[in-house]
Amino acid sequence: MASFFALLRKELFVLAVSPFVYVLLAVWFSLNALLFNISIDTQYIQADLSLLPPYLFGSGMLVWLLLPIFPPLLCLRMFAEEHRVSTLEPLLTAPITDSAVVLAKYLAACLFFLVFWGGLLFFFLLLDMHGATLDWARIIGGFVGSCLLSFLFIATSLFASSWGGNLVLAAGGGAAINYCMLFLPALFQYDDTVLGEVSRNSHLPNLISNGFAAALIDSYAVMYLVLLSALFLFLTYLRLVSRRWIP
Amino acid sequence: MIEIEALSKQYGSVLALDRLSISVGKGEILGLLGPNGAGKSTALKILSGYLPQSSGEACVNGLSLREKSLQARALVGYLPENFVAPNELYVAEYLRYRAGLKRIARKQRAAEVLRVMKLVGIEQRAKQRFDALSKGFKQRLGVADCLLGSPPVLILDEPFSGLDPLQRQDFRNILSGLKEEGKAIIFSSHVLPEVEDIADRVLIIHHGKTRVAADIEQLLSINQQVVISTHGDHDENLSKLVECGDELTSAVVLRANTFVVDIDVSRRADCLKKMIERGIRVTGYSTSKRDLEDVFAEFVSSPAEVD
Repeated sequence: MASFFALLRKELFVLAVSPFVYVLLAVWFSLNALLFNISIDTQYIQADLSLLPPYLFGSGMLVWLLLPIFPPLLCLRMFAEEHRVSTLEPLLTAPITDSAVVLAKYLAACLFFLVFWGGLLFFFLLLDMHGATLDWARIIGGFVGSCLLSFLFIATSLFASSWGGNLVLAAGGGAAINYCMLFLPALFQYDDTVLGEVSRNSHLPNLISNGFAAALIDSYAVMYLVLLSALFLFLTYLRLVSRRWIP
Repeated sequence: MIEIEALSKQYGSVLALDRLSISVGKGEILGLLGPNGAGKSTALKILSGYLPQSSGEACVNGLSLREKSLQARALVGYLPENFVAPNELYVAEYLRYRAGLKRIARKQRAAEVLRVMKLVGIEQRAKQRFDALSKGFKQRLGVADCLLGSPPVLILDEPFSGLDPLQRQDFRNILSGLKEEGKAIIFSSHVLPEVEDIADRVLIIHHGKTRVAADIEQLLSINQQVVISTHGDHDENLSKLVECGDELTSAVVLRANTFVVDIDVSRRADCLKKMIERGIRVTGYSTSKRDLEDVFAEFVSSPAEVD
């Protein structure tokens, strides 16, 4: 465990001091602030503030357009950049298991992404301070759901980052997988076939806006997001150990 | 400490290593030589646990790098060919992180980091980032990383590359000190005088195959060149020299009655006796010192495989 925590601390530190990450945070908060401003200016949200969490956390533009891009950019350096600048070799020859390497990097990215979503909670705190009546169960539910969705996107991004030292491929590949997971179920969700049924049950924005952001923590949605994250982490692990396994 | 038995590595259709076998004991330094693409880095990457072998066995302290990779890696300090550290961390921070990665107890990490920094002479650079270091100090940081936790085995890929003569001298001293501590060290290098100075043995590989594995002294004495001055008829002396046969591998005329001959050092006395018996009036006999560059050139250009 000492190796795991050493790597986790290093990854968190590197993220915390990287100027690129602050550029990402600035873009994220600016766009969210803009979206928040537009949202609370609309009449139907002013009439019912409980609609705000589903919009910001689930069905709004944030999830559809922005969220798939940020985790790949955050995870870019975790394997692809390390591969490119040759720092991966000293890491993988140290006495640390490949699974610990994957988990430490994943956990560091997840912990850091809490900062991204934590900023959104701050907007709700501002509203609360100005006397708005808020449904905190929906806000916290939406926050938890969005975090779980982000953690899934981080897992896919780590997988794409593990492909090699090509940063464009790592970022593009991660974003492509994330967009596929968002859009493919949306294409088939109105089908009456089995595919339609599967699509409806795996439509990520619906899982968030109709479940978590409606203050409904559905064990199916939780397990779906957790297991899918675990699958991509396992694929990342396989990608890493294949180097040692395949002679 | 290090045992390699019939180690082979295949990249697709390319055979990068072909049945490499060698062992390195405690307090021994092995220089791994070969032209670019010979398979040196591949061999070292396998020994560091970074790459798997296609066949054969590589063990560190009896632990197979394939089956007990984690335990074996804990015994190895590895310096890759192009050592790079994350630029976000200061030198001391990087070493503390690596000490954690190598499972050194939290309370001992600061002392261990200070120890290795002093050992390689980078304690004055503790608050510098990697990119701010000169090539020599970058290499020293890599070696300091290798030495964390005092692993008994060191694998160094091109440790002298890019160093100036003074830095090489320092580095030689560091390696000699580590040898005195009883470390088993394998390093690859293109800087042959350095290898000649510090290695106990060399392994020359070419196209992935072992060309020669021998003690440095033994290697330098094989086919030593001898300058022989004679008296009398030049042509007659030359023909008699050639008749000496087995003991001489070649004879070249340097000037009238002076010949440069390659003689197997162990048969030098026999050869001289034979020359005198054949009536050559030897008036002078001197050996010329061969260096590792001559030996290296000879083995990598010769098609024959030597064990």
